[in-house]
Amino acid sequence: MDYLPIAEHGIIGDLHSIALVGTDGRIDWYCCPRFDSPSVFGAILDKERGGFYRIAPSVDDWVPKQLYLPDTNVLITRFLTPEGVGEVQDFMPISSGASEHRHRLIRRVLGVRGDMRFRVDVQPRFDYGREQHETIFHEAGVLFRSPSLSLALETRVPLDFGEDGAYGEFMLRAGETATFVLEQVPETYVPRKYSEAETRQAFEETVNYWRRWLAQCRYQGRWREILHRSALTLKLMTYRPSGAIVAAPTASLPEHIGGVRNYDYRYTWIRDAAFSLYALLRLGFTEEATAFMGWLTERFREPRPAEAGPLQIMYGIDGRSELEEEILDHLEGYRGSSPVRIGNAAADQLQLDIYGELIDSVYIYNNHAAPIAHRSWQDLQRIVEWVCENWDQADEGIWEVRGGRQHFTYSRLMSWVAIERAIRIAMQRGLPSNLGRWRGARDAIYNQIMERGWNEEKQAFVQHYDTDTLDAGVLVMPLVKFIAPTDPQWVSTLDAISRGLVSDSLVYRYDVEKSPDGLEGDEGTFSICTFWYVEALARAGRVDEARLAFEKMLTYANHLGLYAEEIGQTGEALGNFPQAFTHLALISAGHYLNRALSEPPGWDW
Amino acid sequence: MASDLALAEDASRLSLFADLPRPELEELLPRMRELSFDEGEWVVRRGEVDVGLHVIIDGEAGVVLHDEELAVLPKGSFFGEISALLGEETVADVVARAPLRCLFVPPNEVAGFLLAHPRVMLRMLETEARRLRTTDELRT
Repeated sequence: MDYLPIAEHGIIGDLHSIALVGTDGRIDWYCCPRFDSPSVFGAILDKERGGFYRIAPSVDDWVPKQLYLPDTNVLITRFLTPEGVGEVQDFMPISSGASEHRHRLIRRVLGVRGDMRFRVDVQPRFDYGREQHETIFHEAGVLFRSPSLSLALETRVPLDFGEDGAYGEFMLRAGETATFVLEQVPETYVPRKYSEAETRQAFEETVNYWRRWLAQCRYQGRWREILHRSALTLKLMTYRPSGAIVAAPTASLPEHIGGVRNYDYRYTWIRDAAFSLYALLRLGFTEEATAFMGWLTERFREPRPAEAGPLQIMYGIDGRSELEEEILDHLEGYRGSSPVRIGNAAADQLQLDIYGELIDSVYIYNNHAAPIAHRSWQDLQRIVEWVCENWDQADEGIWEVRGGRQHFTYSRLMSWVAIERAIRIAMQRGLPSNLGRWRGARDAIYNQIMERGWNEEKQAFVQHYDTDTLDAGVLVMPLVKFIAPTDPQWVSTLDAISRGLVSDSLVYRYDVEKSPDGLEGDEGTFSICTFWYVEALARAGRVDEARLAFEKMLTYANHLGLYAEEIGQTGEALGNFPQAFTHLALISAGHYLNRALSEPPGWDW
Repeated sequence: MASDLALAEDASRLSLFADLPRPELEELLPRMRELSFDEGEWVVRRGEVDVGLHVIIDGEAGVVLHDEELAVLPKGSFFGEISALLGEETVADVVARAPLRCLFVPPNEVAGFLLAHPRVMLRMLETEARRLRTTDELRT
């Protein structure tokens, strides 16, 4: 069975991990028990060796449809044939309260109309396919047992020996159901029979969980369902035990088919998480922000060498700081895109912008969720002091280029944001601070960007101080209120980016040919940049243009409203999927654009 | 007598035998006979006493009482052990729902067989415990 396009997937999850479910009924990505655990089903990275779990009609010809049960993360994959219609409801129950979480993936198959014969095929490949396992047949299902993990597949459908797995066929008439529960279990576990009432209850509890969660959303503007889907997707990327947020729940999906920019995103980047919070807070979700602030506080308090800064750019979801990168050369990669990387060597990079994103989200949190506590303010002061001391140095920048350190404009800009927001909090709350020094540093950064980040020849702010390359990162300049959106220098930058990086409303992050990033190959347009562009246009008063670009961008979502990191030449989704960065930027752009369309122009500094 | 390699491979995937080291499994299998039944054939009739332990290696069986199918036993299930252990009559019929292949231990050898292979006995006990708990859950 060949690779499905990346966009032909939906996602389910339980706030510990996720599974990708293809429109062909195949789960081809599932890491258990956590986001960053090794994959059990990883066929998306190697169709032969990765492992999969498929439930689909046993005939060849059928038409698939996929949708979410409204306002939930319960996914329904439907199969239509002339003889009948059937569907698979996929969900992962979320434990309530203090009870210990059970890692369960439930697939409920229903006959809808006529008769349909299904085939179920479960081929786990533990530890990314590196670990052997036993398949043990019990009365009420099958146990897959590997040295590091055991999974029970519990079902009333009789299963047969498959090649390193199990398979079965069953017929459903309209109204009949069959259930498959895959659960992490101890190695001596004896599978049990689930009653229909039990799976029905798990289904209803899961539906209720998501609906109750979404009911907190305060957004009532345009594109509401689309923003809701983005919020539901961001929530799926939160790791409930620690409050951490992953950048994406997949690893090594390529930024270019056959290319080498294949990275593991199942970690918490300070930048991405801070932006995610910002988006969720805008919609009225505060619980996630509180949980993440707790996680972050622990990171602040860990000892680090002074020159490395108070925070690493990324961590494991459990807060660990060692994220060794490893190449899985036994996997061919998505459509042959190798190498397949797990872990992430970018963790050691210096990226000075993270303090800006972080303190900006603290600022928003302080205004919208809970005022900052004394000890957190002490931590924050320490960070601001460090930024005041260290902002004027080259770093690897937001795009994590592996081509050497530079004085990136975006990094400087966010250092300015870090200090500027800290000053605002101190002023608003009357908190103790070294205001004189902070103001001095803030203004020095401002003046330096205006002088050295500006390229006279291009009439634009550029990627770094020693280049004339454009970079979409500077689109956030008016968004973070560094520059007035109507400032002539900004207007000409926006025009230059429109000419140089925008192709049919889609935005490249930078000109790869002009900006060697240490890697070979092309890449698609970067969806977060496109949404920044939309917001920058709207803020500049070019609301009609912004709206058209936004509407065009919406057409690049998949059938469920999900986005990967990038968009290729023919509209295909590229890179890890779904990506928090894209969804949070969609929320931010949609939110602002809605306001711009509803309210008379004004400034909200 | 059942002892070929493919059979050992298949048996090693059944819950009763999954914990046995390969040499023990290969030593155990010759003590079992292989029985085959056609689809629809009665394997056990209610009230029989000399039934013996059946372990399904292929196909599936239905447990039937008063014309009602109470349960389906898939590959990896076993039946007949209670009657053998207690020396009492069976309480339900068992029918082959599909061509059925079982490993079989005669009733008078079941106790000795289990004592000789405690890991099999533990597995059997676990399955009985699961059956008991499922029954309890259905009652409550």
